[in-house]
Amino acid sequence: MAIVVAEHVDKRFPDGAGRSRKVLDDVGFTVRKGETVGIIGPNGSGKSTLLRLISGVETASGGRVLLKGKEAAAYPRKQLARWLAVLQQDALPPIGFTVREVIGMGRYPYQNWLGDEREDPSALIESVMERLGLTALADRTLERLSGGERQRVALGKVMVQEPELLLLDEPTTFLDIGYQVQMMDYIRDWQRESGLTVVAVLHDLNLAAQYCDRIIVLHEGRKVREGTPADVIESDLIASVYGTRPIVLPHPVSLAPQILLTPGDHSRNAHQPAIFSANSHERG
Amino acid sequence: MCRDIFTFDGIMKKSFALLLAACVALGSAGCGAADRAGTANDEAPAGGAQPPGAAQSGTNGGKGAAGGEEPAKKTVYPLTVRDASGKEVRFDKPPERIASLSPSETEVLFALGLGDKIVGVDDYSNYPEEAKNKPKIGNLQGNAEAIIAANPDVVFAGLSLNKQSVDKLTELNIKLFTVEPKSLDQIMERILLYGKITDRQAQAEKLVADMRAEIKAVADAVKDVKPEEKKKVYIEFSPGWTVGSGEYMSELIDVAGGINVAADLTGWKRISEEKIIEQNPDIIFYSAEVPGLEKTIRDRSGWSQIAAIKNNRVVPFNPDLISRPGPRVTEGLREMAKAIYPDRVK
Amino acid sequence: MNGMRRRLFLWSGAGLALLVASVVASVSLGSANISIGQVWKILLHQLPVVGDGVRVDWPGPSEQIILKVRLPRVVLAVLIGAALSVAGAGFQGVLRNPLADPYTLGVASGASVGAAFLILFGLQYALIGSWSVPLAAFCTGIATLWIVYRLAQMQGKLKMETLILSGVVMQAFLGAAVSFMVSLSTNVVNDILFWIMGSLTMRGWTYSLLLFPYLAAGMAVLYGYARALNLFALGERQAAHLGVHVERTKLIVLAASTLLTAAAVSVTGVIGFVGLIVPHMVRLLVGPDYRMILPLSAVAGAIYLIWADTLARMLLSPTEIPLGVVTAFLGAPFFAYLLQKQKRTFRG
Repeated sequence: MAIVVAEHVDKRFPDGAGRSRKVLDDVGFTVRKGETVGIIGPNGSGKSTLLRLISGVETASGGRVLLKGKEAAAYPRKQLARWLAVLQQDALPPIGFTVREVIGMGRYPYQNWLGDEREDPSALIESVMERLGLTALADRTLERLSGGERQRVALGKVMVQEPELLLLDEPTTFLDIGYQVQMMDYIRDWQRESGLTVVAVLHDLNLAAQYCDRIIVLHEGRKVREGTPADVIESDLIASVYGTRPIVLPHPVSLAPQILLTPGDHSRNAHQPAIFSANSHERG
Repeated sequence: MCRDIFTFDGIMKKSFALLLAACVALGSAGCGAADRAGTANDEAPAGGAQPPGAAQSGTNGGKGAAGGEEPAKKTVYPLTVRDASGKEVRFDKPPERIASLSPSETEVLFALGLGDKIVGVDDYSNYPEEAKNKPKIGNLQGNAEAIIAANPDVVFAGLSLNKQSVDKLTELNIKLFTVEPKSLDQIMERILLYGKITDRQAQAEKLVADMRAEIKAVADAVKDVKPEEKKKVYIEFSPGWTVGSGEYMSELIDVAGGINVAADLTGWKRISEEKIIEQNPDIIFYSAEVPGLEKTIRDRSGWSQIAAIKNNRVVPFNPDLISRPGPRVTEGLREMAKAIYPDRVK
Repeated sequence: MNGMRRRLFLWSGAGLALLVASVVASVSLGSANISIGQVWKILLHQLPVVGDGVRVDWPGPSEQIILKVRLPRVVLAVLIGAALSVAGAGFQGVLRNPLADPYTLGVASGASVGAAFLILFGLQYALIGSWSVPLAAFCTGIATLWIVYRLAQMQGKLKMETLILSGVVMQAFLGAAVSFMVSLSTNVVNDILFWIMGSLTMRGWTYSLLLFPYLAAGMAVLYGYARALNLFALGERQAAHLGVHVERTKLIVLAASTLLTAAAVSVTGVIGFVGLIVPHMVRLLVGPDYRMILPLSAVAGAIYLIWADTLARMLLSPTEIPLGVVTAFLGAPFFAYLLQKQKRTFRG
């Protein structure tokens, strides 16, 4: 079942001089239930914008994004929040709420105007905290946590939200490698248990290759490749999109394609992108 | 709400003739009665060198405070006098071009017959009628340009002039003479002083004599009121403001035979509603100038049981008479006394 | 949540007890000398059944003073203190800035313009009597909010930074207008300044009775958005992802807070500091949860203003110090003390 369908999506922003800049150009794809889809591309390729369109925070200038067959705007906010959750890069500011209180906030879409739910969510909150190793920190305020710990709390908050679709916006950017793997493992375990669908914008190609079923590559607002990690993580494509040619090796254990960066290659400007058809970007 | 403005020109004219004849006789004796009646006044009026003016060189024994021993004195110049700020001001000859920055000063100057020498008045001077046609030289702080344009020999100003304005005018080499009469006696002394400065001593003494007579008439009318019969008076000259002792307005109440409920305060103060309720005044005076003030006073929470309100003795007063320490203040005094003791004062 | 409710219950209980004690204490103090015993008797006499048993042995004026002067004044202090504090908490929540206060959007200057205008022309009691100034002040206050809101709206969204900036600009402009009117005022007694500095004098029961339902409604609306304000602390985008109607929440909280503020200012003048520090003090004591901050700010604000007003009328009795001066003098050192305490516990 297609949870997310993007059809000919355009997004334009006014660039301040009376004209508009096209950030997304005719992007289309489908995400099926249970999949983990990664979106990669260099800065400015439109990844985050695309994610914002999927989450309903912004609307497309052209084309449309359908969530379970309807546009995001067609859902009342709270109803949408019951099955769609978003985890951002720097998800939680160092505020004075405790871990337990913040995670509890994830239940907001299920609460009535009095703040009550039909069933007491305490058990769910406790089990999520245990799963993420936060029980010991349950009564500590966020301002006393490290960045990695706060990101775990953010994950706890979205878990408690019990969504069907989880959108990740570069959730591992500010984390150490240990936390990065930990975060992605948590998400994968959760996904396997609950049939969660995940769409993740990732900047780390190796992580994307390890954890995603399919990957979409964006370059300057257009989708230039879509496929399994093996289809996408390959030297020529990386070179033309990112401007550096890596060495691509299969991971000894998972067999996922991993890139090794090779210093000294600056071929961006010189290289002709033979893979693409003639470009016709609107310039400025 | 009707405005019963006090006007009683007819009575004034009749008394005037009598008073003129009795002027000299009243001269030495009359001031005494006025002094006794002014209880809050702790200044010795006769023979005293105190604000608003101490005459130095020139006049023979210049004690104008006594209300004039001989009529028609001529001022000898140069004359140096001290004004309310303690500054010494020197006059080499009678000023020919006079300006006023206070409605009360304007009234005094006109009453001394100096109307044609007046070259500028403040925006609020409205009495007598001729004052309205005089060139305007600004609000109570004065407009420097207008004053310079009027080219006065002296500017008389009252207590509302703030320090900055004083400094500014002094800087511009304008001769400034400020007064701050705090009692009826000081009001009259100031009139005499002006008379001396402008060489109009005869008119000044006559004016003062009239005023003293009026004061005496009122004082006599109420002198039989026994202490326990005295009416308690509360006066609200501006919304929420009353006057304590040490000001001429409070003295008016005393002379009129009343007791100022705010007498334990000094100067111009905001009222405390609790205190007024506690004091339970018999009569309330309010300034007729403020629209709606009467209703506000009557409607004040907790005031409905005050004697003055219960007995409907809430009386407006004409601020031009009472709020100005000028020649008509004794008129205001009479109106006040009439309101307080209608059967004794006519 | 259960824990939160229990804590709220405990704190409210303590707060309300302190409030009642403050009310009684304040009613017993004043420039007229009335003994505490008499105060109690007068108050008890008003109660329906118990009251008849109290023998009347006090002078008439005393009863007038207690029931018609002091009690309404204390009640007004409760309402205004609560309104300003809750409004301040609302502003701090929606602007996510603990330095915001109810006057951030220029409402105070706006209301002052209306009041100053009437007072300048001596029309304070014209037209509709003692309601003239409050009504004028309220209208100009609301007009100011509308202008600031329009200035700050961009493409249907309300950017907080632009809103604050517009508020600052309006405040400067309107403040200048008020200064201009003050300079034109020729009275020896400058009533405009006195109004601006805030006062609870001579207000009687009418304001309290009319304001009460209005203030209660405003506070109820704000309390309804307490959870949304908690989510705002996570960030506007996060809150939106959890289902909060961000733009609507911002608008309603700002509007309700500003209406509360405009109502308060139009009746009593500009009483500063209360809306800024009371919610902040409450936050330092009970934490960032708006479900606790909002109701407790109301109670704390009421207590604070009762005492500020008592000091204002007692310190230099029978002269009254303007209330806005007292709230500032009281608030600043107390606030500094609380900040010091918090710094120490944080390090520990």
